[in-house]
Amino acid sequence: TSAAMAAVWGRGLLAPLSGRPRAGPRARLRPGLRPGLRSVAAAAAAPLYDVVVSGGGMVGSAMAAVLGHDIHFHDKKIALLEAGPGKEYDRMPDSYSNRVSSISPGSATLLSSFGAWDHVCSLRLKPFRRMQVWDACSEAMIVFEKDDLDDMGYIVENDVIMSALTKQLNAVADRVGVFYRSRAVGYTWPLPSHSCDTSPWVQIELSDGRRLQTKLLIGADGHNSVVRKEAEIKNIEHRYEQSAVVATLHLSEATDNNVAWQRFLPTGPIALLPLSDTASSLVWSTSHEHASELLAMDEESFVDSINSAFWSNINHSDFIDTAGAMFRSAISLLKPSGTAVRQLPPSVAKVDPESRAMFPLGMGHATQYVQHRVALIGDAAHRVHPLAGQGVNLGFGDIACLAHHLSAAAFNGSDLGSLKHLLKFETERQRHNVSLIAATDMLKRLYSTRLAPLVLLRTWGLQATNALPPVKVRI
Amino acid sequence: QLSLFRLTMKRLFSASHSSVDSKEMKKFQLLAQKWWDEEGEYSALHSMNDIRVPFIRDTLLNMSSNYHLGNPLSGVKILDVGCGGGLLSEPLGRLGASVTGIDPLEDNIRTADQHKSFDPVLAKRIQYKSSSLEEIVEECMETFDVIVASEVVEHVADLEMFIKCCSQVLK
Repeated sequence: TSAAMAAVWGRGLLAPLSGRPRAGPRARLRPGLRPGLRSVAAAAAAPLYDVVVSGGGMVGSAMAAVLGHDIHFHDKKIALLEAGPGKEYDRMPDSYSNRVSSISPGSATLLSSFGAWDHVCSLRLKPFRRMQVWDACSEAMIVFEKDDLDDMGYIVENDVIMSALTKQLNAVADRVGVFYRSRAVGYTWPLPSHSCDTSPWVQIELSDGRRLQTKLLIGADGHNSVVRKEAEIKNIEHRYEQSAVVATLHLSEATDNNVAWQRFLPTGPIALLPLSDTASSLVWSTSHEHASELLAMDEESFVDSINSAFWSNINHSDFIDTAGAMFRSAISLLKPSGTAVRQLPPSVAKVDPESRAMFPLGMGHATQYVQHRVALIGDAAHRVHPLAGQGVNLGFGDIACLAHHLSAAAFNGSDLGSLKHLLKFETERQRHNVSLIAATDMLKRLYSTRLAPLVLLRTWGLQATNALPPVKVRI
Repeated sequence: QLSLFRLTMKRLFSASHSSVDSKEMKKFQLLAQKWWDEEGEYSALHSMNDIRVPFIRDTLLNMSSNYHLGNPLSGVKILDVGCGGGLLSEPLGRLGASVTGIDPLEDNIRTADQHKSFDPVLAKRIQYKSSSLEEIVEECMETFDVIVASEVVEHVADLEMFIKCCSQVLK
C-alpha cells in the first residue's frame, strides 16, 4: 500500500520507490489500483525535513550535531547527507593520521557545547602553548604565546574529530537522520513567493533516485560545492601554484613538543605541528614540482630536506641580515623586552612510511553565503591557504553563528528558510571572514619572494609586530 | 481570566450591528493574493512577527509553569481573529499551539489554507474558517485559552460587540 511505502525514518533506510507491492497471503492486487499507485506514492513519498545538511565532513557533521542538540530543535527533523561511508573509532590506531587540524580555543568551546570535545580528549589531541613563525630570508621572527598558562590551540587528527562528531550524532538519532553513501545529484529551488501548485520546499535528488524535501538546505560540501554551483552563486576563486605535502614525522629525541613551528621559505611555508612528545605532523606548502619530488624521494632524503628547510640559512643575504640587526638594536633600545631569541625546532629523524601525501591549494570566497532556503558554511563558502591554520576554525565559526540565528528563528516560530535571519548570518560571517581570508592571501604573496625590498619590509614588519604586544594580541 | 491582546486601539463609530465593515472588506479583497510576499504590500506585517510572536510567546510562558522549550505553546488553544493569510497563525502553530484562524473574507482563508497545506505539521495544527467573530460564538463558547486580534480592531465596525463576542468564546 502507498501508506507502507511512505518514507521510513532512520539511517539510510529510505525505501526505494517501487511500483510493485509485495505479494503475501493477504495482499490482493486490485486491478484498478496498480497504474495510479506509482504516481500517488511518488507524490507522497518524498519526506519533508526542517533542515538538510549536504556534506558530512567535519563542518557538515558538526552543524547537524549542533542543531540536533539545540533545545529549540527538539521536535524538528534534520537530515545529514554524506557521500562516503561512516567513520567511528573507539580507539585510535597506533599510528597517527596525516590529516590534522589546528583547533582554536573558540572551536573547542563550540565542540564542548554539544559534548564532542570530551570524546576528542578521550581519544587523543596535543595542546600547544607557543607558536614561532620566522622567515627564511632574514633573522626576523614572531612568537605567539599566551601570558596566562592557557593553551593557544590544539592539534587534532581529523579522524578523531569525525569520530567524536559521529558519536554525538548517534546520541540524537531520533532527531538527526544520517544518510551515508548518499550523494545529492540535483536540487530544485522553489520560487520565493510561491504560487498555487508548486511546492515551497527545496527538492533534493540523490544518486540512487531517492528524493527528499527540506525547508532549509545547508551546503557544507567543500570547496567544489555542488549546492553553491546549483544555486548559481558566484565564487571568487584562485588556484595557488602550490600543493601542500603532509606527513607524520618522528623526532630525533623526545621533547615537551608544545610549540607549533612555521618558517616562510621563498617557495612556501613549512610547518611542524606537534602530535605527541615524539611525533609531529608536517604541512609543507610548495610548488607542484617540488611537492612531487618530495613525495618521490626516499625517506632519508625526505627527512634531510625537512631539517634543512628549518635549519639552513642559505637564503640569508648580508644586506638583509645587517639591516635586520640594526632594526633589532633600535627596538631593544626603545623596548628592551621587545626582542626574543630565536629557538630552533626539534630535528626530525624518520617519516612514517605511507604517510606522505599531497593536495593542491587554492583560495575561494562565495559572493553570497545565503539565498532563499539555502545557506553555505565551511569550505563551500570560503577556502584559505593553510599557512594561518584557520580553515576548519572558520567553518566552526560559521556553525556557531548560523546555529545561533536558526535557534532564535525556531523559538520565534519563523520559517527556517527565510532570508530574514539567513542574511544576518551572512553579514556577520562575511565581515569576519573576508578580512582574514584577504590577510592570509596577502601574507602568502608577501612571503613568496626573495626580492630584497619586500624581504626588508616584511622583516621590519615582523620584528616590529613581535615587539608590540597590542598588535600581537589582536592577531 | 481575560487574556485579550489589543495591539492597536482605535475606536470606530458605526451604526451597524456587525463587526464586519464592508468598506474594509473591499480593500482587503484586492490584496488577497499578496499576503505571503515578504517584500510586498504586507512586508510590514511580516516584520512585525519579529516583535509580536515573541511577545505573545513570552507572555504565555510567563503564565504557565509547565512547558518544553522545543514546543513552548503545546496544548494552548488560540483563536486568531482576522487572521488574513495566516501570517500570525503559522508561527503560533509552529510553536505548538492549536490555532483556529477566522477571517470574514473567503479569499484570505483560501490563501491561508493553501499556504499551510504544504507543511503537514501546520496543516494539522491550524484550522481556518471563513466567518465573522459573531458567527462562531454559538459553536465556540468557552473554547479558547487565548484570543489574538492583531492589527484588527482598527478595521472592525462595532468594537463593543467584537469585544463581547471575544469574552464569550474565551474559556
